[in-house]
Amino acid sequence: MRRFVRTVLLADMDAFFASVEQAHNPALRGKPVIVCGDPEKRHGIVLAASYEAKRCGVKTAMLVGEARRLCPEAVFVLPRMATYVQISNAILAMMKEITPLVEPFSIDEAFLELPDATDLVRDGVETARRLKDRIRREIGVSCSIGVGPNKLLAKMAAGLEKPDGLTVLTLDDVPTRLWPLPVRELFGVGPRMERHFYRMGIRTIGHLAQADPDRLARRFGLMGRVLHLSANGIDYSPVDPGSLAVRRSIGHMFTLPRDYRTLDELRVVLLELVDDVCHRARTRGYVGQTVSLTLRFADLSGLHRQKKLEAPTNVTPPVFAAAFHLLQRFWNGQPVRMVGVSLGNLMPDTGFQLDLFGREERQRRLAAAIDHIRARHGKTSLLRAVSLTPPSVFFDRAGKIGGHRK
Amino acid sequence: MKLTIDRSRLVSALQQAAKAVSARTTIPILTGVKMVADPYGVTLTGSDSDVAIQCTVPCEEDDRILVHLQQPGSVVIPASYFLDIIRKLPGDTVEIEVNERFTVALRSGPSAFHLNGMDADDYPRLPQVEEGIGFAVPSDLLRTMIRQTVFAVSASETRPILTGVQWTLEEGRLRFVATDSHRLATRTAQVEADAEARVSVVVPGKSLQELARTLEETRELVDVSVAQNQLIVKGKHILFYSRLLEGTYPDTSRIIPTASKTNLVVETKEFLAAIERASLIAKDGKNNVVKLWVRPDQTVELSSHSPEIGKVTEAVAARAVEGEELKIAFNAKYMMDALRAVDAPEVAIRFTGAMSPFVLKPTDHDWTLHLILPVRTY
Repeated sequence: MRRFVRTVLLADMDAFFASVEQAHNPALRGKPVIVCGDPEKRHGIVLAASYEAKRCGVKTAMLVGEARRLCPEAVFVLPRMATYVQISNAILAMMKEITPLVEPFSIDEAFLELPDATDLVRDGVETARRLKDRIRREIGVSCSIGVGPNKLLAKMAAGLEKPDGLTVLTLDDVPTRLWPLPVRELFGVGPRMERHFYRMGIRTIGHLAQADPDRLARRFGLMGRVLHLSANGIDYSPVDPGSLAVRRSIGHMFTLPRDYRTLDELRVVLLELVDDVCHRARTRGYVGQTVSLTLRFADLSGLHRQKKLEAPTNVTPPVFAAAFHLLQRFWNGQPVRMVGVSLGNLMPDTGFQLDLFGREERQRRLAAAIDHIRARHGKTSLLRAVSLTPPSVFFDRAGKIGGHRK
Repeated sequence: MKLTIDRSRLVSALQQAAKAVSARTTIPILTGVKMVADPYGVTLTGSDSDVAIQCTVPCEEDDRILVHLQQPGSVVIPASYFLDIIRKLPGDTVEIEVNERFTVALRSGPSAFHLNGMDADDYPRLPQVEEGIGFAVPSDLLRTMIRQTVFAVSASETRPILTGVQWTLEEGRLRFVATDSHRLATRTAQVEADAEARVSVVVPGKSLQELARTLEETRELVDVSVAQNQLIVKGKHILFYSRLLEGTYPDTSRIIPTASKTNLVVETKEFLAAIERASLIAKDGKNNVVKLWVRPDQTVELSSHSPEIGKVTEAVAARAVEGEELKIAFNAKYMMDALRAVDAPEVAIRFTGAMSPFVLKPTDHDWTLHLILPVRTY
């Protein structure tokens, strides 16, 4: 009896924002193009770099000043989020002509599942090739597609060959093509997880695949089991066309250095987390309308509550007000071990409603100024006064970005 | 207490009073309607913590006996049962009798109900009408003034004072202002008041919606007064009380721009219909954004686009266009609300730039003014 095998594609646009700019302006083609916050002022960060620029060492999220040093001949372009969203949607529409099962994963990535495919390699590759051709012909942008029996392998496959790649990864390929890779290359493993794995002697995806799943589960909970399955190329998650609107969020969690017992202590951490969440939303060009608060207590029980904001935003005051309201309302005073905040219901930031008293505008201008200063001089160059008080985790967190916390 | 009362008059008085009774109140006595019988008539009072409505059935009106009073007294009766029962009773009159244990007997034709009432002495006391300063205004005008402003109050509790409508009386002119900080609505009217009478209060928007429902569409005057942090509106057989909001209402007088750079005159209904069409595409977006473009050649275009759905453009037939070119984006809902409330066949819209508030005013009078803040786009 033949085992049923799904056919899933992940299409990832190559240097999406930069490619769109090159497609729209023939003068930019073949030249290094960098889409970034504020090219004139020489600061802000790189949102996207064309492959010509990447060849000089320019990376996404790098400071513009640094990018200019690496690639002085690059053309710096202001982002046009509304245009990118429109093009992203046009591409999604092409995908939906192929199959109704299209799940947008980010502005430049989407999963497709082909429910009628009978042969992963033949049907998957054939569809992927047609899709690549059509996107290049009609949009003028190249993409890399991964084909696999599930979302995980499709995503891993797409990352194996870029730009303009088309890679198939079947379950049989997992030991030869995935296992030799460093464990951080596995989807779902961040720098923190990587450090934990290193201490356990797990350095490659293969090491993880052969680790004892029960030991991983004891150490990391459910996430441990999921990553063990992932390392073996197994992933049961469906391609969900409705996922983007509901599930996409930007969040931060932090395990406290000791259990916090007072509202004042928690307030400080919450404010610092909200600052970080909003900063990330701004750099990615999103606004969100749902704020959720997660607490984990000393006895490992937890609490998760969310609140909808009046209007989508990406500045601290309204997000913090909602998060603090949730804390005041639902926290029963148990000692808190971990605090998490996230901003969900994300949508591209295409504009905002002005108000009579200029609040939102002032808040946005202040946030932009802080972002600029921090992008140039580092996160610790500018901080809130409460971040100098004992409950603050600001320096703890600022240090962690480099991954050096013990 | 013992009396016989005209059933249909009791039903309408009870319906009014019951509007103020909230099903979700945490104070048990407020789930009831207070009934007081005295030689003037039968007075019914319903209340929650924000508003109170008092409605009277007089003993006699136009030579008709409405209440036959045998023994005065008072009681509080559960509002929902009381109203439902009176509505369904078969006779033209109802006999009401309350014993010393507050059991209420309701008899009409062949049927007899007994309801458990409560002691009227436990019911919260309302301020007296005679106190306080005030003015008189036609019932239908007050209703219109509320309708033209109350939609603009804030729905959010982040700034509680903005959930109310500011009432200012100065030199016989009554002015209502409401804003949620994204748009502002004002309405002014001449009322009957002493020249030196001054009022400046903020009335909760929810109370005003309730008040508008109780006001009749007639030219008959209602008396408005302020006492003990309450607004009191007195009609023919009805008294309406509302709690006032505490706090300082922001000074909105300086926010309204006096100069303008681009001016437009449009036919209200036509323009509203065009905005409604554009909004069909915009309504699912986060700010319901519609764009208006006043071109250098003085033609006007309305457009909206939504990446997922599509786009719309429409040429606006403006009666007059003057001034600079302008491209401005705004929330279609705010524009529709203003156009529906403006009550004029033609409106003048005055812009001072894409990032500044703009003003809508009727071309034929100065009593209403609406202001809308644009949406900033990148």
